[in-house]
Amino acid sequence: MVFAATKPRRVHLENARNLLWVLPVFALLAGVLVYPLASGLLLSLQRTTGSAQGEFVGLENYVEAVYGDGTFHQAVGNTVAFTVVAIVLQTGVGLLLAVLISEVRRGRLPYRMIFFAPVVLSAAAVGSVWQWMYAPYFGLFTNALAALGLTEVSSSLLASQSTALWAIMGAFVWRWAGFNTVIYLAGMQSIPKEYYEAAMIEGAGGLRRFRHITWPLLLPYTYTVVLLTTMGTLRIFDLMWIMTQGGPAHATETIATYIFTTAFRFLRIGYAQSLAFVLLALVALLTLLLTLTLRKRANQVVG
Amino acid sequence: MAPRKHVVTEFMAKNPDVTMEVRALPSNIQWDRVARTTLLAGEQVDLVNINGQFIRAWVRDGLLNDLSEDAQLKPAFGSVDPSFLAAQSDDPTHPFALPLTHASPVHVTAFFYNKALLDRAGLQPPKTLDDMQAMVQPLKSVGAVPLVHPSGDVGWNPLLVCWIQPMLVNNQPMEFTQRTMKGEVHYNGPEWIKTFETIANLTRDGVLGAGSGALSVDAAYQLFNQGKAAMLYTGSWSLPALSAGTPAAGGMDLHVTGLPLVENAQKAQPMIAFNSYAIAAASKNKEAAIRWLTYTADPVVDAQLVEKLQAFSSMPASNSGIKDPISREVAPWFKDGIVPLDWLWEPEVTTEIQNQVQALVKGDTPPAAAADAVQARADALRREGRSYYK
Repeated sequence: MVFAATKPRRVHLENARNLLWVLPVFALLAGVLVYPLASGLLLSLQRTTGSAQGEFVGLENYVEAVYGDGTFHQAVGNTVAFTVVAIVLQTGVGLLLAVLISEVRRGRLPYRMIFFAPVVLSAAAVGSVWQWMYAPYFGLFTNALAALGLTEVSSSLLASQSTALWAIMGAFVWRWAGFNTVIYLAGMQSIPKEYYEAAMIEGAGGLRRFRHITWPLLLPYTYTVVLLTTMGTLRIFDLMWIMTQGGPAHATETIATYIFTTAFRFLRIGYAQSLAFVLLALVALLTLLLTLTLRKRANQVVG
Repeated sequence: MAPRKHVVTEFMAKNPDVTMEVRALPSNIQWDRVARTTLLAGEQVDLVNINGQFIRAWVRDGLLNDLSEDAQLKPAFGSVDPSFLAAQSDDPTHPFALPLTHASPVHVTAFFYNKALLDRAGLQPPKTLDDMQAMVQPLKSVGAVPLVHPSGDVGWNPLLVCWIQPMLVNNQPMEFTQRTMKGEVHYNGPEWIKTFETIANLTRDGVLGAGSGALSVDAAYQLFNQGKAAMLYTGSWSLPALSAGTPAAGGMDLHVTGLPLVENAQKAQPMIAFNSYAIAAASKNKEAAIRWLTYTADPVVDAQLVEKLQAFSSMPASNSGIKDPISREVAPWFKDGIVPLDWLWEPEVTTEIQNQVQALVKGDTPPAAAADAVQARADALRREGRSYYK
């Protein structure tokens, strides 16, 4: 005789009660996530200016984005290039600052505050100030570079197609490196001091200690830093818009600035929505790649 | 009380059954986005204070009422200079907006110059582009350049096209622009390439101060006020900023002259710009809105406002109240004024021209490449059926 095991009724009731508790959260998620996503997807399949009923065009918007829109391709190129360089610089600068601060025996807090301060500033303030610092004739950086004989006082890094994007990178790294510094500082505090003591007894210098102890044990934090930097930088809009509005000649056009221009300047709401989904796909793809590569290595270190 | 607010208060006092709530929106492109969103959200909007660059698009999208259908407004339209009605619509017999001083004064572009600086360099205000080229060295000796332009604020870049191009097309800019938009003339055709070449040469020849490619409008005002640039090409809307600026040690003696001639042109055609009042298509208080338009279009009300603002009106009779000497220097340039050409271009083409002109001013882009980029944008619009002219 075989008895099939069934859940007692008590368990079913408990499950139903638990479901009731999470229902409000699901409702909220549905309202602020699922519904907008679904609406956006429908909108991306239409040709509409937003002030009238749209015309259903299927995947035409996506086809145009992928195959027909040169400015969008340039925006994607700028965004990816900016993201790659931002990852390297922000990780590097953040880690360097964390290492330097960790060497300070007393009074680390002021340093942490100083380097974290730009993170809490508004993008509008940061962008406006940096724009003035790059301004011809008046800008601090312009005059400094001119004093070193590297440029004319009448020029500006923001005005040249070859330098505008990297000039904005300066403001971007200045603003966000402190955030990564704090993450790395937290990670460094979790590394047992005994490892360093043992290494020093063995005669390992600072560089070897960093290479064989600090860097490997910080891999999980590096994964976090790289992931956050990637997800944030791919969506960059504020500094680009405030400092150059995507110019000169689309040299600083990113996916987000192009979406904004397409939606609110050209009034192509449906097409802009499709670009937003392309951006979503790009962010998801890169996040997946990072998760598959970096996190595996990070978990090996932790394991 | 601020003059405009006084007019609103007076109107409500004379029309106790009407209450007006005025909401200020951000300017330029932001205005269009916020205003459209406000209407789409179903908020009650009756009157729209709309800049001429948006009128055609709003009419196309059915957002405004055709004011020719209201007999009560005929006297109001009769008081306004017909050229302003022609500027804001392709069909002046069906006006959708009334250009009134209360919406905004009318403005014209001109060259504003520092006479004290020119005197120090032994120069007169330029009449031609050749004159401007001849100013480069004398001004350099006093530490200044002839002209700066805020190309870093890309919205200012079409002004350069609007200065130069009308003279290159035999002073037929409206016809030329329509032919371009219809595809009969290409953006990478000889006239457009010549326009872009002339702009690029301004920097190459030292007429336009280096660094203009990254200048914001505030920085450009500063350079002019501090005597680092002898001239500024802008509109009379800049007068308050220029008059309030901190002059350089050498002094600022602000004056106005017309746009220098290019090539062998006989006359320049400055831009006139203004706002108008329109009635929203979704208005539920059309009768009250018409009463407002009739009130503010009253020549007496308009003249009083002009006198207080010391700014120009679309009603010629009101302009005798302008006493400010600098404003009076601006007055002659309205005569040959044209609509800003970027009011006619599709927004995508305008954006592309703004970007490419910035690169031209910087010297990063060859004129032909800039022209090709604009033509590519126009081709894409036509392919997608989104050009204004099918």
